[in-house]
Amino acid sequence: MQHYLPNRKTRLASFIFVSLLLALVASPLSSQITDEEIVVPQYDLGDQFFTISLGPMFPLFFQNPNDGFFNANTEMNLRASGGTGSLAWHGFLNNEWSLGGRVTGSFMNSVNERTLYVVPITFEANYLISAFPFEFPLSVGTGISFTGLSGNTYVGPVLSLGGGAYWRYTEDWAFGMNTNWFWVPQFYTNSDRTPPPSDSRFGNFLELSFGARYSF
Amino acid sequence: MMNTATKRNTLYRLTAVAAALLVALSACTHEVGLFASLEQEIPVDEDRGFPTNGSIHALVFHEDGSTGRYFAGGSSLWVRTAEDASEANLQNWSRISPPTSASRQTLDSMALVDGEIYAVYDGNVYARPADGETAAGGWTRIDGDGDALVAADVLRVFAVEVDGVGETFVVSATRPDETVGSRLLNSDGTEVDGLGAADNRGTIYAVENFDGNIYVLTTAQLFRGGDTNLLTGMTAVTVPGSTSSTFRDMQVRGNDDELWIAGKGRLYVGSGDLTVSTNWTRTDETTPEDSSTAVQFTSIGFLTIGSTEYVLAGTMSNGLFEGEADEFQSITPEGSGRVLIGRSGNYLTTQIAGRAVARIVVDQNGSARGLAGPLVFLGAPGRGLWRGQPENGDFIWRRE
Repeated sequence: MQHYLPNRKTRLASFIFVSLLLALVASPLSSQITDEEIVVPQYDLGDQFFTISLGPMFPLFFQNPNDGFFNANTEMNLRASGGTGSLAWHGFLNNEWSLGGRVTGSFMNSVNERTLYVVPITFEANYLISAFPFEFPLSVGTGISFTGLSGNTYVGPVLSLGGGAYWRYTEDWAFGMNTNWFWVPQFYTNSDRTPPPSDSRFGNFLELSFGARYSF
Repeated sequence: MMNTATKRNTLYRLTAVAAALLVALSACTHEVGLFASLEQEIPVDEDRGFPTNGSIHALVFHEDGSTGRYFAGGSSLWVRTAEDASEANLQNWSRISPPTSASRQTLDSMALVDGEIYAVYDGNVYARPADGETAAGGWTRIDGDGDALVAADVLRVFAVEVDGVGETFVVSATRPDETVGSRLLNSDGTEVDGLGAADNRGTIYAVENFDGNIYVLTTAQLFRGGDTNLLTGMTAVTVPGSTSSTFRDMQVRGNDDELWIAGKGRLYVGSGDLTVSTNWTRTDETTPEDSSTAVQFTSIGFLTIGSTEYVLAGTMSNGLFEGEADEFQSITPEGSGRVLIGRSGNYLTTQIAGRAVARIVVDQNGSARGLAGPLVFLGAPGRGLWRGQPENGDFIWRRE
């Protein structure tokens, strides 16, 4: 299944590049660039934005802490990709920094068609690099993740690290792409009611999504 | 855009709500090694020709000397030969054509009677040799005396050993309708009486010979009759602790050691004279029988691995339960970590975990054919036919 991924990625990158070029030409803000006075948006404390994202989620690998923290076990037995969607809200502290939260829902199917659900709810700190009309948000987040499989649910911590590239279409709207790495640990302790500690694993997943952002 | 003060207040409020939500949800816990179970997942589909979404109403194992045949009936009737330990002898399923007079392929029930398969198609009972070819033909409709069976709308057929005369006889249960429950018919077409009010009877699920008596299980009640091939004058037997109409299956363990009944929230076990209430016991009652969360057991099987005999119990929507038959009070879901079969097996990675298991049949003699041990077949409605067997110290499930 994996041999066609490079082709798919190449097509995806081409599509995004062409789309961005076309959108740049058609943008209301791009017309401002040709005007004598260029308005570069600035963010102040209290400015906010919502982001909605959709795209594929790629399972990367499991770590088995019993074999050493950095020892990756790649036998995830998941299909090459699943799907993900997220809703996020952020409030600016100044022109660069914003704080907020994100709810992400994602699913991936196993080789036996079992569906793994990963739903991280994260508190995020976001640093924005601006190069008008493009913006590059970098984010780090932490929170809890609901993981579901075969009717069972695990609630545990999650860490995320992400970046994106957005293009300001109007003063209110921006469109672009996100990539987020989710680190989802599952810890088990010695208890009669839980699996043994040897079942502890750290899941690693990569989101690659298209996003639309509304500022207000 | 909002003014600065309003924005600041909104920001503070939303941050506070998010923090409170995080604290509240972090209190949740759970207990299954989800990632570890994915890591251990192995492909389970063997593609032996059985439809993966097939529905199964009946499973029968026919053994003849060192060879055997498995029959699975539901949306159609399927058969395959039991293999030996050689990889070259892996067997695939073949479909057996229905009787030419049947208007549809769906098989409602099946029983093995003296080397013949008795099957119910379209409300009629048909028979054919268990070792016959799979092509059309070979079916004979069982008419009974005076065509009484043909006139009835049969839903289930049961084969019952009669100790006294050393033969197997057949009884048939009719399909219940909105007002009248199942009727039980002898092989001559006469109706078995004494099964209580027909409008309160529900479905007849099982007929067994236990310790010199014939027992009939309906949805609501257990009945007992004499050891004869012409049942009459059945009398009700009280199953202590049962208060609602939830019976689904009945199986004899060992050589008339115990009679097991599948109910809701528990299994009932009787031994000796079943009219004596103290001869009955049941699995623990932590969940009330009438609770909406009580597990509805649907099927029972027995499996011996080494020197330990296990009871397996299928459920309406909670997967497979198991426990040591001698200590059945601790019956728990397969793979829960509290039972002995296959703690490290792959049950939790399969589609039968937490789903319906309608039928169970055990081929205890797999070892005699050179296999690693006995085989268990599970019919999972809409999810095909599953085979479980010991492999390298685990109990591994695969879909046929």
